[in-house]
Amino acid sequence: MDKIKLLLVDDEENFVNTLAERLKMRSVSSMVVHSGEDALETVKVQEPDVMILDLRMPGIDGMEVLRRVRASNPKVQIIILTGHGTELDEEEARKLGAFHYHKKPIDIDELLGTVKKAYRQRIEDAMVVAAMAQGGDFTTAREVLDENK
Amino acid sequence: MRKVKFMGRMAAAASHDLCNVLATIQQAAGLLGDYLSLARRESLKTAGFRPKFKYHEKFQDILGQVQVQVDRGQNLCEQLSILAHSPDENQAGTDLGQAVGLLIKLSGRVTKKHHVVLELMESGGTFMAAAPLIEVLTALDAALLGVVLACGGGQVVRPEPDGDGAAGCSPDEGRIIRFVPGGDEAGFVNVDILCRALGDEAAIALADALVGDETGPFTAGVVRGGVRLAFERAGRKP
Repeated sequence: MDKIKLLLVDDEENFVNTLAERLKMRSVSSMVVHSGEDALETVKVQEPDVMILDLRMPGIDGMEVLRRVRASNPKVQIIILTGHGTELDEEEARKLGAFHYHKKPIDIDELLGTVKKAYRQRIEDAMVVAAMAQGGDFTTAREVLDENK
Repeated sequence: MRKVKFMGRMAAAASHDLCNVLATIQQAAGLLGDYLSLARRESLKTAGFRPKFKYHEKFQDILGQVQVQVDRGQNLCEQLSILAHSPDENQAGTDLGQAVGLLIKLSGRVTKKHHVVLELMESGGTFMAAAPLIEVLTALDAALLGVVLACGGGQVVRPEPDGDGAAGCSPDEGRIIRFVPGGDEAGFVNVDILCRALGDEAAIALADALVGDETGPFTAGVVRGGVRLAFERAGRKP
């Protein structure tokens, strides 16, 4: 699983650095940023496969990051991990295309399971699009991509 | 209401931070556990040449205790978050079963102090009251405290000459307070709060005290073995 490009976005530095270390011990390396602004910059230069995103952050909050990344990089699978989980937040995140919505605190293996599922989804999407594009079916390929938006 | 909303906002922010604190503790404890496992594996790999950590089991026990408390804190945090959002506007109504469930989870201190057990009796169906969650919780909490006090902390109530409902109940039964959500065809939903140790006179006094002089979103009455809080059903046409 070391090949997953995973981006962790959370302003709780102790939490997210420890999480990254634990994921590394499970053979999943990750990039870590502590703000919405840094997350958007990172996505521009090094698109991740999967992003774990906190909602409440100073500056650009997680919901806005979710909205912008889904628009600019629809293939990125985004998992919300928040300590402030209202039903309305969850509903909005899912509408915006979040792959999954977790509340803190969370068991590391449960989170890792979701990351693997999200990565699998990303690979499957890419394969479908590639197959369709190879067959010249750009319209369907476009539709698949748009569905991800 | 402005003060209630202020409290709600503050409590919501605090519960958010609390969840982050718990998450950090959980991951830190988890990382310690990871290193413990790593040390054990390395010790096994070197056939004991690298000795195993002397206090391995003790550390594992302690980390287990931390996890149990994190789970407990998470549960409280979730309930606190729901409570904090209870004054929010735009609520379609309040599910009485969920409101009772929340009250029970948040009343651990009261139940411990008065040695009572709270039970939610599932009566099938969803009963939606046309009142904000905060109003329903406030009414339920007042009724609960009244029943707890009237039941004498679960002590057996002596039979009264006029055939009081408390006659003959066992101490264990007297410690159980049951919440039964329900509804009728007339457009009302209700929660019955029942305790075998609650006498008829005490129930009448409690129902009167709950309503008092104020007009609220509920009415209170007496049912066999307890009191009933009735709310207008959500979605009912005036």
